[in-house]
Amino acid sequence: MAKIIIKELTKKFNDKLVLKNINFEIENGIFAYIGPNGAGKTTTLRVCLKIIEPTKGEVIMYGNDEKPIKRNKIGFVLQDEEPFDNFTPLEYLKFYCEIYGIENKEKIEEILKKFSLDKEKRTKISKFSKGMKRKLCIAKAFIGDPEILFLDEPLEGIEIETRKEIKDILLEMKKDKIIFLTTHNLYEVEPLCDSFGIIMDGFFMGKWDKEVLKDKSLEDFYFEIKKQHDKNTN
Amino acid sequence: MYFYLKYPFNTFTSFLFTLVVLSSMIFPFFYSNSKPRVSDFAFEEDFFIIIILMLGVNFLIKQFHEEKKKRNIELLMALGFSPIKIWLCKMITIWIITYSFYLIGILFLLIIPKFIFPSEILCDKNLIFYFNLFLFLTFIPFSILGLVGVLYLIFEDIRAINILIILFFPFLIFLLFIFKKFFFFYSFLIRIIFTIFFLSLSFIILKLVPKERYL
Repeated sequence: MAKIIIKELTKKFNDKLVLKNINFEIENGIFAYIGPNGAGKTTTLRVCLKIIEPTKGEVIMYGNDEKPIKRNKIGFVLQDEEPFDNFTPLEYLKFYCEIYGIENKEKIEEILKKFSLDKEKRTKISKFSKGMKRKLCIAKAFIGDPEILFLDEPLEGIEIETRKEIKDILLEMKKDKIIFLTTHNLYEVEPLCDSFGIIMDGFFMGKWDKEVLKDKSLEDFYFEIKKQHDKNTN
Repeated sequence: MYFYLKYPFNTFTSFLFTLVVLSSMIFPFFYSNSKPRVSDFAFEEDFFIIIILMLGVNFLIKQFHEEKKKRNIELLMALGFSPIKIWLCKMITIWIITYSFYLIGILFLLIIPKFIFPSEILCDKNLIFYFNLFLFLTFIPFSILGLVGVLYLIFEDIRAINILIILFFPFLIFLLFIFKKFFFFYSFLIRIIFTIFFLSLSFIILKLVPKERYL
């Protein structure tokens, strides 16, 4: 079983503390990392992906074999990421296959089919809608058969049909994977996630399994936590 | 190199630029009454340094500033490439493509006047001259391009860097000119020192700057 352990994670930009001693663990399934804009979601994800270094603490990731995970077994989609306009989906996925060192080119066809992009595989990406571009980015994240997947606001600003399509694919492909998904859209994520965590002003408020939402919605739960946070900070 | 094949317009304009700038440097001699020797002017070394810098900066903006704006640098870092590796890979392609255009420009400059001014002697230089022209002369501009690449990678607003380039390039050329005039025999050594200095500075900056500056 794959695992992410976040230990005492602290990040300072100049003098501003953006992550304040965050500790939690995640195992297989879809984990929604919820918080308002500027709470520290993207910074946490950037530290996990080793794009930036933490000021203090560490992120440890294990694969399904319970050994430290290899880089090519981590998939990701960054916030507002867009595929290269001058490429076709086929070229784009081939490019990532080369980076990940994947020799099995049949995987590309399989992924394109799964994401219903096989008909447009030779169309220039510049002609794609925002939703299709986002779908292709998520398809790219799956190309290396990842065991851990980081998706930074993957459903943001895309049309309803594509959003539904992406959600269905994520639910279908979550087996034997950790899907770490950041969002501020509670309605979108509620039916999708197995567990969730809330971050506010750099403070990690806690991690819960979806079972806690039996008698209330995620929105109600979120505002309860927010109220508590506001009380503590004022 | 794939980048340049996928963006042929940028590559083509740079190619055109090489030919147009070099030609415009020769054309004034077409109608000159005093008929100065083409070789006196055209092979002034500093002129070639400027050409390489102007050619390279064009690619630097595309490769570093625009890639940073499109967040492709962040993407590469997420894939596990270090800032030094990103800079070095991008610089190698810029050096190769700039050098290719520089070569084309030089050959153009060497061949064309032979037809227009058959009486002019363009190639009365020794082997060291050509060795210098094709190799040593490129060291300084390539190392400066490397440093400018680092600056484009670090700063979001590149206007200040561009102003710095406009002021710094002529100053550096002037400095090299002075060195050459007064310490001619050491000019080669001075160039090597400058090159090592600019490259070391680039590596030190890349090593010291926190990763978030590249995003």
